[in-house]
Amino acid sequence: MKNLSFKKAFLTASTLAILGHASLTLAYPNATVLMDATGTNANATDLGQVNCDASSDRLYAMIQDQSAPVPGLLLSLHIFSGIHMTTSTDSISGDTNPSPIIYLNGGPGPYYISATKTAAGARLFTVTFQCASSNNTLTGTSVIGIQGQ
Amino acid sequence: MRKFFLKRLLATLLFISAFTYGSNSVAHSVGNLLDAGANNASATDVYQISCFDDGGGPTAYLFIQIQDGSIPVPGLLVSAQAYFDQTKIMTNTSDPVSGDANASSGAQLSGGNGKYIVSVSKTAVGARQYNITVHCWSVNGGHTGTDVNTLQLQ
Repeated sequence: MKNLSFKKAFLTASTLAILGHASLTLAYPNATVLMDATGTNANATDLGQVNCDASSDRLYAMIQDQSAPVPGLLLSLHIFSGIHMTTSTDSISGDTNPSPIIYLNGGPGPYYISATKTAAGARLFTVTFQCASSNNTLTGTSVIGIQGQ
Repeated sequence: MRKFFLKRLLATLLFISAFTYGSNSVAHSVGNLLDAGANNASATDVYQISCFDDGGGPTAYLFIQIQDGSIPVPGLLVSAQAYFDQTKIMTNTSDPVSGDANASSGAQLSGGNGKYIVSVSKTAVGARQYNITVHCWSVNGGHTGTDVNTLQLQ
């Protein structure tokens, strides 16, 4: 069972995964998606459901926009569960840094994660997510894609 | 301190009044100062919108629009999302120019009658005074019953 400095490991693992070393032990669940492929839909929204196992207390997630920067076009990630929701935005598109990590305390969930953007334009992004217990022990995490636009 | 608070309250009320004046009686507007402490980039407000048949027919879709009334700040934009849990669909709209007279483009979510979740988020740290407009619409273009319930304010 992994019990570690979650934030640092999360960042490291995700960076490695994005660089193509996804088979490393610390590769956290992630998905890479092209949103608004035609570049015409400012309302495009991608949606997935994350299920955490019974010992879970929270879901961590972050998003990284891998497309070139476009003025006024930023990519955000939302986590929501029940009546609560939180948001994180990748402030600089196309660099090596993801958005700040966010988390939501929703117990085992289910949680919903969505990606939205502030204008029309195709965006290639990676979202990384991990369920954890109240003391940040990593817990079982699975995802189901619901809506891809 | 008291003077500052009253000044900000007055500004908020004037802003809300400005955007609700002139709207028809079935339009619903909700405003709030998001991230009042200007220290929470993740701040998100959440509302529940109930759409129902109030005699004019069943709801076909929920329409949302958002307007950021705060002065422009580079990299800081406000967005609104609508989510319908029964069919698990979601949409989003953003106000591309803060502080001007124009709201975001409209976005609609075709979930029919039921409870929608509408949220408001932003792209960076900074207080934002926003106003969202929500309408439940029937398939033939008439307004249907609309109730707004606040779930989370940050």
